[in-house]
Amino acid sequence: MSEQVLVEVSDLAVVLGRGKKQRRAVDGLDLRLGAGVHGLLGPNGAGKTTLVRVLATVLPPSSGDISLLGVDVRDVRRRRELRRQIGYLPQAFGYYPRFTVREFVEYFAWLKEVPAARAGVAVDTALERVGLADRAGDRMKSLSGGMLRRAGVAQALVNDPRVLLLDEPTAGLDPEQRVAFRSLLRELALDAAVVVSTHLVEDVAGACTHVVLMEAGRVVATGTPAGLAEAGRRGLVHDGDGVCGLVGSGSADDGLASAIERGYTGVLRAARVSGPGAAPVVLPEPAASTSGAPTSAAGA
Amino acid sequence: MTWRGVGALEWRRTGGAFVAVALALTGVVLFAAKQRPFNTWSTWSSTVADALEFVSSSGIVLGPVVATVAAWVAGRERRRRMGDLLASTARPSWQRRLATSGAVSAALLLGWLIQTAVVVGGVFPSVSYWGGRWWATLLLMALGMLLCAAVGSAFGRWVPGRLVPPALGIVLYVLTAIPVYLDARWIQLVPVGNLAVFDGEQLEARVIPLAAAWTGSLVVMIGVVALGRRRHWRVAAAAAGVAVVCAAALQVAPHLGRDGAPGVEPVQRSWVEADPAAVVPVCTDDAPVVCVQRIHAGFLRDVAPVARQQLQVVGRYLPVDRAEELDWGVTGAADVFPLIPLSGMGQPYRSGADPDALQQWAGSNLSSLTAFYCPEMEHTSPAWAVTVSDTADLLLGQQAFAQDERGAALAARLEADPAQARAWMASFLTASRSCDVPELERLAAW
Repeated sequence: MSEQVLVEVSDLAVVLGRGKKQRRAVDGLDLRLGAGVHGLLGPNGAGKTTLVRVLATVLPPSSGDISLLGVDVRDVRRRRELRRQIGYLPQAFGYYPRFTVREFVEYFAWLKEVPAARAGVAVDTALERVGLADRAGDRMKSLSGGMLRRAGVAQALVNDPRVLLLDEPTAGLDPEQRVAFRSLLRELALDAAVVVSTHLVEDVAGACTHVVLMEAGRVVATGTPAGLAEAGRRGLVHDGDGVCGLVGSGSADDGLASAIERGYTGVLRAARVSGPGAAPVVLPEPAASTSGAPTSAAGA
Repeated sequence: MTWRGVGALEWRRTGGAFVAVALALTGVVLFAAKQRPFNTWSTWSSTVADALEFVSSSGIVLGPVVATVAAWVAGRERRRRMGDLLASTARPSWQRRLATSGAVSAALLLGWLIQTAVVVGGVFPSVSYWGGRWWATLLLMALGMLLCAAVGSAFGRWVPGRLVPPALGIVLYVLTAIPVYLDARWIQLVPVGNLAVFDGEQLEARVIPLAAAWTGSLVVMIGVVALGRRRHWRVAAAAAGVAVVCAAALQVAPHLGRDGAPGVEPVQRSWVEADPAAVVPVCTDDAPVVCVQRIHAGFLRDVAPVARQQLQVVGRYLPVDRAEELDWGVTGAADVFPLIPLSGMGQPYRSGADPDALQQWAGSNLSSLTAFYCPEMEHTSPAWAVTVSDTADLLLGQQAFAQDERGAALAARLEADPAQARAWMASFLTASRSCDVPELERLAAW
């Protein structure tokens, strides 16, 4: 994995709504992401989708700095160049029902300014990667929910992005497709930052190299799935200063997914006790972790 | 993918062929509704001017339809909730909108052109002369349709709501149709539906560039708004300036050098002038000579035998040896039997004159000789007037128009003495044309 920082977010705040309905969807968020699959985990309303939208340059930040691939997203002159290297699948994925799958991906290749000479190969590759090559001639409206999602991923991949932002990408996929999709994500993440917003801990367990836990618009913990699982197996401790540690020896019988789920629940509980001022927790790697060691830090 | 590929994709996505055919069919249905047997009062002159006048009138309906379709297509991404996905892509959004609006505008324009071709095609078998500056009428109407598409695209782009497109169509229909009835000063600034250029007329040369610049600048200005490209605001502002100047000029220029002050003649008429080439006589080679206006030359073959029969009847009383189609109110030379204008004589997609219309026209020719109206006869119809009019009708074989017994008796006496009849008819025509009431009263008592 490259050490290069591809996504850098500093003190990000996003205020949504107006007047009495105004709320801070993201509040003082810091994040540094390199190549790899980064799972964004958090309850509903944690700010995951808002963060992904800001990273996709769809939603302007209210304050703070965001740099993607070394480019400030506020730099209007370089935004077009930046967007050529972003792939994005929104949570609410609209599509053109009359397009064939191939036309749909082709159209997005054009929108992403993939050179015409390379577009044909890029479209074929994207369709093969999501397993829709044999359905390329089908109309979008004839696809199942899972296939539509895969077509959405194909459009996100067609420009071979260095920052890939996927909001609930596995929703609607059957188990077999999910396994294949996780494998694809790992492959893509060799030289790209893949940010996956998900509710499914299986996705985190199966595909993510890093996890970012969010709660109330801020990052409450970062680490690896293994670290989160370890926290789940051994339990977290809160010492009143907002600093957490691992306690106990855990159970070796726990499955990874269920351990992650328990770790996720424990981290959120601890974060709520610590309050919004507490620093994010850096989850220790299982091999390096020691009982009760303080692990507070920012970013991954 | 190239721009051409995207254009083809947008065409398919928009259902371009369907949109074009649907719009064309709408126009053709309007055209069919104008024709007999659906509409018994309707007339068809089989001239390009008449066809284009219909195309212009149908713009009152088709223009709002075009705007509605364009607005619906422009609001498609919003309805499909694709805003986020599209906003994250590199290509400037105005290029995407240009492809979408361009495809739908092309489809709508094609539909309008098909309708125009169908309508204008209806005159081809009889058309003898295309009319002066016919292309300008087509150009201005095409620009008007593009403007409707631009207005629709702008509304679809900026105003959310599923009901916006149909509401826009209704509002545009009202705004387009009402000025025709109001005859407002600004009526000609409504780019669709108001280009009334009839037979023997043409658009004034000085109006054409101004009108084209007015509509064209509106297309550019509203098109920029529809595309939503802020960098082009200078283009939009410049177009707005051109539009204002042209609008002002169009209020003044058509009236310069004309008889009468602005407002005296209907505003719709202020953009047109007579087309001298349209009324040049086209005559038969053999005698007695029958002439029609060049614009109706396609009817000469059918009209000539009828006119010659009438010439024979009239020639018994008047020294006429030539029949000629003249404009309304024109009497012509003394030796010319005036034929009234050949309006409403055509049949769509068929050559020659409509037999029913030809028969009516023949009757009208003779009636126009014998009918007279004098200011002294306002609200009254004196007995002597009925007598002289009926006598003249009977002498010309128009029994259907005669009911007065005194007139019948006088006609019978005159027919018994051809010399007297010729003298009577000559006096009658002179007196009726000059409204010499004492002389007419004298003729009634002949």
